[in-house]
Amino acid sequence: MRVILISALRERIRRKELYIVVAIGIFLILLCSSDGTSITMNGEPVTGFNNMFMVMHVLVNAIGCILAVMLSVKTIPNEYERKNSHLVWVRRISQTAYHGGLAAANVLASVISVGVLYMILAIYVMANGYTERLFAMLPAFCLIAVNVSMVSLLVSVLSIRLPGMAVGALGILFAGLGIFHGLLEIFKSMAGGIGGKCMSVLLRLVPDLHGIQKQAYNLVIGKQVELHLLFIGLLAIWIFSLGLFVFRRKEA
Amino acid sequence: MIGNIRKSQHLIYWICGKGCHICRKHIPFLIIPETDEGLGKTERIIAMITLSHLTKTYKGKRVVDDLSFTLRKGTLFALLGSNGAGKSTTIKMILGLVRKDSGEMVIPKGTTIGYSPETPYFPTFLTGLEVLQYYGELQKIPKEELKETCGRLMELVSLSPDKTKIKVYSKGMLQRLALAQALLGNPQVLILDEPCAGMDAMGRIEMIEIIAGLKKQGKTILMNSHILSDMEKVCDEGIIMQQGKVMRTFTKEEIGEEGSLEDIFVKTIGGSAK
Repeated sequence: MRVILISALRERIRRKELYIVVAIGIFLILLCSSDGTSITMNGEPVTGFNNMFMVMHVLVNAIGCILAVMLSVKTIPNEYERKNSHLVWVRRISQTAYHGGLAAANVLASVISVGVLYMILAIYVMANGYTERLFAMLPAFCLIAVNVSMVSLLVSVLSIRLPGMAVGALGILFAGLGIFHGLLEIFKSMAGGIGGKCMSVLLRLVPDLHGIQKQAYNLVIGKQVELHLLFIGLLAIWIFSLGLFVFRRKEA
Repeated sequence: MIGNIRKSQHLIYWICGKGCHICRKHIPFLIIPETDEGLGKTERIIAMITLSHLTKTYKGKRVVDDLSFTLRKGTLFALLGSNGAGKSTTIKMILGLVRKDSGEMVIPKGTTIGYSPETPYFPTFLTGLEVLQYYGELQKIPKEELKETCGRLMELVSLSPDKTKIKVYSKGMLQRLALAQALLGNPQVLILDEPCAGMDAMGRIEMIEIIAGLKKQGKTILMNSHILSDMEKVCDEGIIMQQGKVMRTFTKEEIGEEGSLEDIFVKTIGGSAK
């Protein structure tokens, strides 16, 4: 599995799309951090380090989750399309080890790319003179990494059996529902009837990626952290990883 | 002795013109011709792969239909046929890449198989040597042994173990690298799917020489190719397939008797030799 992981990771980090999205992400973060920006929240301009940092933190989480979908959606189908799988199957490598190696490479590539974005955040923190918060950023990054890993792993597992388009759509839906979990909770309480019930079920199924991101933010600014959301995230990762044992290809 | 061999371990077949003495299945081309020692003399054959009444259907179309043959130890077996005859599907069924619908396939326990695909894909950012090291590591070949093996195999297929990336490799170089990775771990059986596809004349000559050399070393080879003249040089026996069915079996001796493999092929499949 280690050999497959390293080879797949080397291939992942060579993808042009990765660099384009990371560059766009860096551009957006830098745009937010510039003095001339005029981001408003509830009609009020967002000013001050904590508020700006929160906006950028949300952005990093969202871009990271989209990157995770992009990086993970085609890895396993590509292996079968190129028939690279033939040379692995004939060596009697189990499907779990093979798919596991590829999925782990997806997760690592996603975490590394979100790490690059998080570094920009760290530079922003340093530039504003809050160097003491850098230490808290490390565990905060681990929380963001849980989010990104969750999305990447789910997409990887689904891509073992489902076609690329369906996996991409499900991945974006999962990431979208997770990122806007807080907002959708408000909508859910506003909406009644069947719509409200459906939304309630969906929000129960999708882990609160926004909540985990918020805990990471709280960790950096020194607020209290609710760990139960992190545990839900880790549980989701464990459940998704079981898919590597359940989903199998009949033919290479 | 026969009684000691379980049905699932048909390593040794005793053949005398009627088929396998253990399972009583008739495997047509395994009928042993009359030897100098007289008709009826039994001969011991070690079967590396035995297919019996294998069938595969794709979307309602039967791509392999009641296919039976045995790959004997130390021989080169040719799988011939037009496009869509079911040759590649047969190979994939043997390798376990495609599931058979019915029939029996017997590969003695512990038999090691190397496979060279028709259209090999290797990560383009790697060098040839790195590709071999990657597959060698997948096979869990010890590091020291792998280093030596990779160098030897690169030399065997006339590839330079330099820093040339796969992305600049020609089709012929890719095919040779595919053969080299198939040889990792020194497998007993080699399955070569169109090893000369897309190669120029010189490349084909070199490839056939390498394959002939491997046969000389005692490797058992199952090879699928459209290039009949190449196949004629190295094969010992084989089958001609059409629409999933075996149209004819042939041996090296029969090729000599009937002129050429091309003549046999044309007679069997039809069409013009020219």
